[in-house]
Amino acid sequence: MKKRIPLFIVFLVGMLMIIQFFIPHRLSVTFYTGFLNWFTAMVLFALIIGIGTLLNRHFKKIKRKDDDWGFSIVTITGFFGMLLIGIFGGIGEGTLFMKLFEFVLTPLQATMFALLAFFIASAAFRAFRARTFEASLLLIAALIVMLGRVPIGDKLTFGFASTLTEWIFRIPNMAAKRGIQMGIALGMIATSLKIIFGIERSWLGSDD
Amino acid sequence: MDIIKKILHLDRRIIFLTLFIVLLITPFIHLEMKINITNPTRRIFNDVEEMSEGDPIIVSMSYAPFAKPELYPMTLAFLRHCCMKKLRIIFVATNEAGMSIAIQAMEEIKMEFEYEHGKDYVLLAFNPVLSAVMLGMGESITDIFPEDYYGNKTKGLKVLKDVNDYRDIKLLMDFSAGDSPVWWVVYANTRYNQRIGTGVTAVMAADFYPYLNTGQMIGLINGLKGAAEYETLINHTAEATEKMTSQAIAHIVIILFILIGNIAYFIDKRNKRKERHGTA
Amino acid sequence: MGLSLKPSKLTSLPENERMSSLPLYRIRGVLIIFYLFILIIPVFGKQFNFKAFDTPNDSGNSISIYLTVTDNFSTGRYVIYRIDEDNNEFEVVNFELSDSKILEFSFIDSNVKDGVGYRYQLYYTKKNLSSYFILSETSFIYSSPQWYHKKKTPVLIGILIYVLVLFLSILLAKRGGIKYIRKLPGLDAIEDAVGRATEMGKPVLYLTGLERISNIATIASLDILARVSKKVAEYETPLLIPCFDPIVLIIAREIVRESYSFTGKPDIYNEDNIYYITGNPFGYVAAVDGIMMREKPAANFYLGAFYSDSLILAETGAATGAIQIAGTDSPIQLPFFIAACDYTLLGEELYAASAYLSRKKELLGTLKTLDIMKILIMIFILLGSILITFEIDITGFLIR
Repeated sequence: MKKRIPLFIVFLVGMLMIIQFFIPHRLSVTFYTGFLNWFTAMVLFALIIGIGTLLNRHFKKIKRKDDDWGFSIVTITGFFGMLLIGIFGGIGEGTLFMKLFEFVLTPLQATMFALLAFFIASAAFRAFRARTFEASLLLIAALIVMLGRVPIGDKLTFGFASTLTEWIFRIPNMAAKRGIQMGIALGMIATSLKIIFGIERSWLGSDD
Repeated sequence: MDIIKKILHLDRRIIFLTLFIVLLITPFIHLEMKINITNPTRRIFNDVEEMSEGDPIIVSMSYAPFAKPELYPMTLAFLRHCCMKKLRIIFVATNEAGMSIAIQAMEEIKMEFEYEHGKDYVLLAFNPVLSAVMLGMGESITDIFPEDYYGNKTKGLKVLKDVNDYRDIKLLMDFSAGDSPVWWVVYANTRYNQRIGTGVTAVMAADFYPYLNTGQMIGLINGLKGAAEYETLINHTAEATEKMTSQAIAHIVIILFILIGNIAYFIDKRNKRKERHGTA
Repeated sequence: MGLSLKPSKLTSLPENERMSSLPLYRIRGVLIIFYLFILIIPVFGKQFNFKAFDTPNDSGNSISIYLTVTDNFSTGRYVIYRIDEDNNEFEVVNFELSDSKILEFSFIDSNVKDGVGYRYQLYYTKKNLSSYFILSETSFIYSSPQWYHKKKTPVLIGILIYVLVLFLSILLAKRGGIKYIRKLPGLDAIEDAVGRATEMGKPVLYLTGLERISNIATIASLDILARVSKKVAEYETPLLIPCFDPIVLIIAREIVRESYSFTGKPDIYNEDNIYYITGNPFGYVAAVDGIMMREKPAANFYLGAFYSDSLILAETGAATGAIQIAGTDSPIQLPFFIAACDYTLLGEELYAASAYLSRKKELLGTLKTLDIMKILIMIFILLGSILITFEIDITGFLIR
């Protein structure tokens, strides 16, 4: 019974969602938006649980003086600091909350994203070696795209690089991507159907 | 011999440091470069260019501040073009920080074009359930957003006059650092035939090219280069065009690293072959 | 209100001009001349086409209007009026055309009520003339919502075929079993990776991707987690799951708890190792990178939806020397994972993983479904290419 009820709910909701997709009537739309609103409410409750787990973990780390527990203090200070500043100082334009957001959080996030440039450089150095014929093709394509994405590349190749880059994006890249995407789409449908029909039950813990 | 081995197993920190120094210096260098306009960018430009004064468009802000260095210049260039054409701009955000970026962008240009909130543009509130927003706007924009970002009732706002749902929107432009353009295609284009355009980070761009060919997206602004192209198209050189020098030199440095790596690889391969022949 | 002008070629009027357009219904007396004019139109052949109908496949409250105009009529001003059963009039659209090409327009009047009859009148005037001709008038049109979206019939057929193939494959698999399954080294390496972590006394790190529970890749990742967590429980190795989505967190905890119970080791299950971090992608990536650098997991699993963060995660993991197994349905992230990870599940392999690991007959049958559907799609693509090459259009037949 413990497993049958969730399986029945999944089947029922899954089927209803499939059926509503084919019904444009406003009743179907109301049903669907109602479901989405319900989901929004659920997400909010789950978020409270989520934040609880985060704080719980860090409080425990501080209490036990685990390795690197100093970082936990930073996390908790950041969390409650922003919360209190937001509650008492407001979150509108020009408030301390917004200033912290703009001048602390924004640069921090931008820094993380900027790391990508460095990692791409090191990964490219390691991966782009003309070991085989296919790897050589990949290497040549990478060089063309890198040149085609900057104006200097066009200058060096008399406009050839950006035209060829566009071609690589539109033809070979797309052909491969479509092939992969079709497999993915089929895999997605299979996963959905397996769960709706109760064929896949691993999400219940055991599938026996 | 030893050098070749060292190059092949180059400490990645050397690559990081070289790139860091290059990026530190290049903002002070300016190279005059002609920006070649790619077709996907031109298609967005042409679409806006063909619109008439007062036409409503939706601008979806789907990026957090981390992607601002790459996406903000194109956002600004696109909004500037919309303001030049006197279009009505409806901002939505699929990212919680998106609206604050929209505010910043409008603050930068609204004086120049005499744009007023509520009259010429509106910032709608952020709703975390994207699918609800994307589908809901197909039924009624004011129902899914009863209030704007500042708490004003959306019904009765001048900017939303005669704007009920997607059918009244000329173009939906999504600036994104993730896969939100795909969801706009799934929900707004497939279901409601909404015209979609997008501006994305270069690292994600290749993901969206299939949608260009199928016509599910009308155009695409691809990374900082795309932003520079858009700036060129609207004749307003700004941040993206200036940053092209840094990007160009950084690309050349990476290409050089790759070439050095390959040269070392071939020398190493030849040496190994020689050694084998020698021992044989 | 609630009106959209679909064609891009249409030059709509400035708002103030629209508001002050002529109240045509007040000058009905003059219209008799215009009716005479209409009589002359057929002499020149069909130079415009005006029709209105209930918008198909919609949720109601909408009437579609189509207008085609040719050379003789194209330049000038057009006004479309809507008149309801109580003779209330409303200006639906008012626009001017300045070029003289053959043009087609479609409008959707979404300011109508279901079950109420409306007729539409099309008025026209040449440039610089104040008198309007009535060109056409429709009969009463009634808007209504539909119970079936006819254009989605191909999708319905597709789903039915898929379900049929799915159940047939499962049936066949149960009877005869699946003779051959292509090796997926990434999945075969799971046991080694967990074993290595146990030997080294280090934890296993499992990421379900940077997406919400509504993403199928996340669901597929949770299915794999159910299998991986059983292995981890068997080896009694700590399993760290930092979560991006709070609902994923709740489900992941449930799955891992069940796995530990299933393997008979509920006492070593540590709930605190599965926790929420943030829904902000780079905040999440920074935190996970921190975990990798501090706790040095011996095995990292990146299975689910990843974006521009994939390489930052994978490169950091590679720097710590962990054995890395990745799988994503985002084709653009695959090269990054291939460059930095030991094993990568490509696209659909992520969805096949759960079945591959379980070795259960009915689940293996679903793998056959994928192959059969792929062959079917290939046949359709081939047929489509042939049809389009010979310009044979069957789309009308399909979506009728």
